Amino acid sequence: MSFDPTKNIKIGLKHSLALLTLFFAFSGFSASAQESLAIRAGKIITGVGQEIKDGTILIEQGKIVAIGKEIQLPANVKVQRYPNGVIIPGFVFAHSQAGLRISNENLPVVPYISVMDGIDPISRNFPNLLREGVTTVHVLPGNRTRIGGQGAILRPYGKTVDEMLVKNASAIKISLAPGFGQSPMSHMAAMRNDFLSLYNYLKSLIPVEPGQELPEAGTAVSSLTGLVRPAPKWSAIDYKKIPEGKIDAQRMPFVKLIKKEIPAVIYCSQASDVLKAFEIMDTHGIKARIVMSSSAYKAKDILKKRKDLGPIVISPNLETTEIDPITGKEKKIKIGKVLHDAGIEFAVETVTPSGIFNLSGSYHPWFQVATLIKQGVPKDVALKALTLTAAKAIGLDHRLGSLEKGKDANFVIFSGDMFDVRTWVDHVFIEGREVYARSKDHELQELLKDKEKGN
Amino acid sequence: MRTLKKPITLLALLSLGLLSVTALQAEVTAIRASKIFTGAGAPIENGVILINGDKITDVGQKVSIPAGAKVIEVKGVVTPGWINAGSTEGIQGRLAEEVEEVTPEIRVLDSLDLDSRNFKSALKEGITTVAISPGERNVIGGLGAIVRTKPQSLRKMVVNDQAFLSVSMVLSAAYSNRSMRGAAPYSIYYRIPTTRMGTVFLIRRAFTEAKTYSDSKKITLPQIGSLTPFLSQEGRDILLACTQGKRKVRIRADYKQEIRSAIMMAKEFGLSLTIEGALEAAQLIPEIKESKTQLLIRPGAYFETFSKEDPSQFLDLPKALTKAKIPFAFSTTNWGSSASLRTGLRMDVRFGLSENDAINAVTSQAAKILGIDSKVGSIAKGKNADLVAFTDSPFSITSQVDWVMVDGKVQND
Repeated sequence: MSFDPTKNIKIGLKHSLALLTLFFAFSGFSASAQESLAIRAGKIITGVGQEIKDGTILIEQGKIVAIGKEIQLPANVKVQRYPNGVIIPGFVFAHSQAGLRISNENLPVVPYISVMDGIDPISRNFPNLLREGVTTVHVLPGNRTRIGGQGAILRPYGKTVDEMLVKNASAIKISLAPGFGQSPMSHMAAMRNDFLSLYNYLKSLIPVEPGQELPEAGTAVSSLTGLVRPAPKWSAIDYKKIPEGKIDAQRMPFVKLIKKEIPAVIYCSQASDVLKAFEIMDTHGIKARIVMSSSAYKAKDILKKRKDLGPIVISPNLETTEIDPITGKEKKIKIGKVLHDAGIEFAVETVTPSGIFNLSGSYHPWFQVATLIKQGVPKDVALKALTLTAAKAIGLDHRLGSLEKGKDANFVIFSGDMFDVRTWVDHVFIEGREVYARSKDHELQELLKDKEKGN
Repeated sequence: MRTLKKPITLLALLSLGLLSVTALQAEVTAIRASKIFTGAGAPIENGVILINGDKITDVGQKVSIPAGAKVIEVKGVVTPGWINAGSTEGIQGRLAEEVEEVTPEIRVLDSLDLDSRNFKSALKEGITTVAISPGERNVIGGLGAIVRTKPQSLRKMVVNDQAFLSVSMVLSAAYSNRSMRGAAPYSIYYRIPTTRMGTVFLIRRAFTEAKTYSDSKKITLPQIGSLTPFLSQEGRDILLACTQGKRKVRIRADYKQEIRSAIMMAKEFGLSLTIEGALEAAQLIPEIKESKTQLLIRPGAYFETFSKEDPSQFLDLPKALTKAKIPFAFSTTNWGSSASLRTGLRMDVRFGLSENDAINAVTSQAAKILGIDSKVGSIAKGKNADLVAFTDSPFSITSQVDWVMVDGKVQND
């Protein structure tokens, strides 16, 4: 064994050079100046009900500047052609735990923590998401923490979390699923107390003259449940009167929730939780989106009544089977269809694939779209449930979710008809940059290659 | 006597006449479909299937529809009723009789709940026939049954209650058995086999005993070497029939060494062999082909939770078998329910198995392997009118089962 030190140095140099180039290439995703690029494809599905045959997308600075059949292309623009390709908007996951190894905290009230500290950028989740054509993922803490941490909206691409970041502190997760050993009653009582103690805390920070004390938290009767519950008088708190820097940093995100600076994402584990979510929203005047388990359909009548709700997010399982306890008859419930018929706008969650072997069913966003169509949801509504409606659910529908002028150039190029099982995601673009190509996906190539096997 | 005979002949003639009248009146149904996969050969575009009563009478592109026939139009695809060639669903209680390791004489039908929900949901998904075998926990588990999924009388549901002998060579047969070392055994699991070697030994011992004492009707038998006979008379007869090729033997074997042992065993005793499981079969194509073994493999989606060094061999398996012309069908044992068969198969189509080959595997090939191809598994004259209509190609992700027909009657749920 001979040891050649110069060889090692060479390798070291090579590596550091590679790292340097990587550093420059990845420092700031959208900041990297992009020339204008034109993508031509056999079919473009815009995601807002339009299908363009032999269409072109013109991209500048990561944004779509023009889209259509006949569009004016600037001189010396780079044109990439995919004559058999079908382009659709990149999929948006509105609720996910991608990249989090442990998504739930032991402490029940942790609004000060952030998924940004928990996400592992080299998690296998992210390349797996790209392989499925996901371009945006809203990562939130799990469903088992009462007042969980703050979520973040990410691109599933990048070497650091900062680089992946689209929007930080996107929402605070609130879960109505009781913790271990807890009943829904004590869970809800504790939840009310969390808000109440925040109110009392803020009240204590405001200096007042004797005799002019701020009001105690009162009570209110829920219009939906008829229950009497404590109701802090948030309007009595004048934040200007609280001395600068006096609010505890750990409570600040919770305060921001009350000030409507951060929305909440409320997880409802069963239909009856929806009423509790409404109670929280009404009592404390917070902005919130609802994420529901597969029992969402049972709450359709309650959900329908709320006009200010925005889209709800439903769990990956789009079909449940119920057995009538008396007749024993099975009833298949098509959740997507039930919600659509009730006039409820919804986005659909998809299971984050944990490995390359997650080949079937609800691991694929396109399979979820197909399932909705199969259930009888109109084609464009079904696609939107994983694109535009999902973008709306995370408050980024002005940037994401459809292929329109001015929006981010996030899209997927399929090898053919999206609903043919033999179709593959060929390319994924995020903000005008190709971040996935099937031809370079070594894992998939390994699976697909036709090998002669013998012994 | 003469005077009596006449009226009887008259009566016979009369009843014959009546019969032919009823035969004429038996409903003729015609199905016109955009695409028909017959289970044999290329699919027929814009074809017609004629059904008289519960049997198919004709199929083709240029079949004229008789006047008065009931016509069913199908915009999508029609295939024969699907067959799941291996499953343990519907078995109530334990899957194998674990008190003894070798129980060739027990029948899975006795444990079967024919009203099982699994059969109903399988029927809704277009699976009209299922083969059920005892679990793999026993070395020789007993006799498997072939049943139809449509709930009806026992006589009509059971196609064959002794369709094949179920043998297990997988590690589960030895798994959790303990060897007797000193201490007094306090459980039945202090027994052989505890290894794959032990499993193979037990199978060989059983078949050897059956062959040695084939003509003996004695209750107490002399020993073979140091081994005491351990089979019942019925068990011996069943195993003997297997060695004479009169009864099919289905061996569960997943890994290479198990598949090799199974093939070796079949050669040694002249068994008509079907291997179920066959995970690593892609590596033993020449041996399997040479031994004329038939395979029952798991759908591709099974491997989504299965990790091994070279995963592509599993996804390549159906393609490799098609290429080598080795007959194979699909079995959902250890993987999922019959109702999920199509979801699983979709992944095989995604990884390159042609639609026609996939449909053949779950219809005509499966019927051949199960030995019921004279009745079901293809759309041809004289076959049972068990059909499935899909809204689109069965493997498209938006397609659904339009209707399922059993014995010429469209099933309503």
